Amino acid sequence: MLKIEHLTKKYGDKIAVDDLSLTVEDGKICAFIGHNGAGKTTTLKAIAGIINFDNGKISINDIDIQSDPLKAKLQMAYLPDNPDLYEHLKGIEYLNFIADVFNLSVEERKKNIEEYAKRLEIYKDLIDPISSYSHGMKQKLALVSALIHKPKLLLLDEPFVGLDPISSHQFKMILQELADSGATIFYSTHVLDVAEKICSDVAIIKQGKLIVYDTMEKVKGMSSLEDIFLELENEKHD
Amino acid sequence: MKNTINLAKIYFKEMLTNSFSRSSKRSGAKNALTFALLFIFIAVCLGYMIYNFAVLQVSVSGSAKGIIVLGLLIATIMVIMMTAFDTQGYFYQSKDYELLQSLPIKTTSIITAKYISSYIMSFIYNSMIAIPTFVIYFCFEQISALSIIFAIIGLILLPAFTQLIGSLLAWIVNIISSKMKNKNIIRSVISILFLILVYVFIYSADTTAFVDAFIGQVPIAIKIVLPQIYFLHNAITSSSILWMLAFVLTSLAFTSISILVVSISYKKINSDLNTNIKSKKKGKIYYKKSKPISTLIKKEAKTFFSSPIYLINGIIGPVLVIIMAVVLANGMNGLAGESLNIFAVISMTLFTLVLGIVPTTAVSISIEGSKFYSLKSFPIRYESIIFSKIGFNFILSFPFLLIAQIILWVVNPFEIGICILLFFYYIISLILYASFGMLMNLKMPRLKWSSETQAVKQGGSMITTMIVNMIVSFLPLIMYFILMSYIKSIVLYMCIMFVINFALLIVVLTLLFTLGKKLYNKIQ
Repeated sequence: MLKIEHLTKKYGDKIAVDDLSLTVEDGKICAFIGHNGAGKTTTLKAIAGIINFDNGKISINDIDIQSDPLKAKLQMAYLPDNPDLYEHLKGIEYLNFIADVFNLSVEERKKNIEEYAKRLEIYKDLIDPISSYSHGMKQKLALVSALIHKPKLLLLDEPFVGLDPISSHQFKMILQELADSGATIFYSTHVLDVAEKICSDVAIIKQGKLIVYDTMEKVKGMSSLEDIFLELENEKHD
Repeated sequence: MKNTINLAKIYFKEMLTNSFSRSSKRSGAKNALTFALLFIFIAVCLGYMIYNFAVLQVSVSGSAKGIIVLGLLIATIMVIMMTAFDTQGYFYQSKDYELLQSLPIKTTSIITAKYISSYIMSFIYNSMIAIPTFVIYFCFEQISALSIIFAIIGLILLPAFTQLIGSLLAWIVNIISSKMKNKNIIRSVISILFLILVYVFIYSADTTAFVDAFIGQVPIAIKIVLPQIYFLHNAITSSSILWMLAFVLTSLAFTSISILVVSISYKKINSDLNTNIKSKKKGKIYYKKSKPISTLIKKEAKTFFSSPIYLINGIIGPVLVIIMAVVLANGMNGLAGESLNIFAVISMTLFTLVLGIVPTTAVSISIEGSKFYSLKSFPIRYESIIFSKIGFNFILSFPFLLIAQIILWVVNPFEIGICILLFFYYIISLILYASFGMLMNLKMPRLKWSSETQAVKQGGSMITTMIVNMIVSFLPLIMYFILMSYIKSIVLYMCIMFVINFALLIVVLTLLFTLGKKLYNKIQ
């Protein structure tokens, strides 16, 4: 379970995230939507423990990210919008590095790497250096690295960018399976139709403030998520 | 032309931004001020050294004319060491290559802008010695308006030679490696070979060119290899317009050749470098569990050996230790007693000086770039990250230090007590310098860069670490002259030095695990 209470993050005078509170329960997939510069990445980075914040509290399964960051990070995986990987390593070396960091046994890492790398069709390429990978392959490798320790909280920043249709479909299924097994998934996206299909909850952020947070069904009602989002965005210009 | 100037401006701004500050919003004026203060500090220190040379020169030959050749020779060697290996980072495999190629800008404009950018770095390093050299020369010799104008023109055009060396090296290294499978290994190997070649040249020049220059004569080697210095020396000392013309024409020729060389196959080399030649699938997928700390150290090693700029920057110190050991061993052969003890003190200074120049830790965070944020999101303790970075620096440098010690020991062994104290002094120094470099990189990380050269060479942490470590490494020599008038035992002196260094280490480590941790958390 991800619980954010009154999160505020400032960059100088600019308030990037303003008193944001939300709770994403176990087994939920929550889409985090907002215009460019709304504060999505800042929020995700704050949850991942990458940046400090000015106010508020973030806990992952009741573990405070600020007071016990290591324990909190063990429970989660964070995938940035444009993952920068260690290009001089081979794919498998990178995955072993991540597995070591999460202290996975040989059996565990073998099982999970094989499962996810095969499903995302990158298994055979794992012996190649990452520098030889295409953008999509790097994205797939980053996804596998985020999944190998079966995180209880998955934080994803635009995870579908660069994925081919088959991998994209596979990844949606993987997300659903993880959610079914009780994991929490919180991801930012601009692809609203995908969010509409796979997410149980939706949070909309505007200029750092959370303006909507509810179940997908309640938010979109009879219209589409795109219509709702555009309507809320237009309110800004009125 | 407009595009060239605009691009050069962007590169210059990029060079200043983030070099001395964690915040990209820090004003350029503040960064420039920090840079200027550091520059003045180094120039004054080097100026003091050149002044002493000049005083000696006047006492030997009655004139300080030779100081120009000596100063500019030292400047050229220093600039080659500091920048020649980095020139390739400006022209090849920079992150903006594809963007610039997609824009309607002539390739020559791009190359010229990059050339100007690297020229500025050479100019800065060169000026650190050249300015004090000219000032001191004018203090001792007759001054004229013409000679001052010549000195100013000389200052501006002098980096043309080092730029030529850098461009040639960059072109050769990259044209060869672009055709190879293991590009980075090839680039590193050729760069190291060049480094060794430079040392061999300096070492052989030590007994010829330097001595000639010192007694006020322009050595033949300089006339042939560095005609620029010869022409400028003649122009300033005799206020000759003809010699100045020769200097200007030579410099312009060097500049044209540099740009021309890099222009050859520029696009092909860059596209080949960006294309990975895939070999048939080799090896197999393996699953091996390692302790997090050992996997982190392995990651540090792989990062180090895969980046030619990082590798050259980090390997200079260890390689110099061996060279210093050979030079010292030559000097101390057959000595005993007090004379031999002085060599122990000199070795303490020299070994720690070269090892402290650029510990890998001083740029180990900057080189991570945006990967650092991923590292921060992993469940890894701050202490483990710090330990892995300092640990790798130790693993890299220690064997060289050990070999250097053995060389000295084989030639003329110190007393056993001195040997043991020296050994522990070096270990403490290695950790001290690496820890300080780490602290500086936490204070001034440069995570946004378009080429590795910016991360490795243009960070404030690297420059600050270098200066502070240089000062600390001179402590043994200074303390020797202070302490030895009170205490007569070299062993006691070494014990005191060990305690001083150990106390410094405790202070730096305390800072690293308190202030450093806060700085680490603040990096965003």
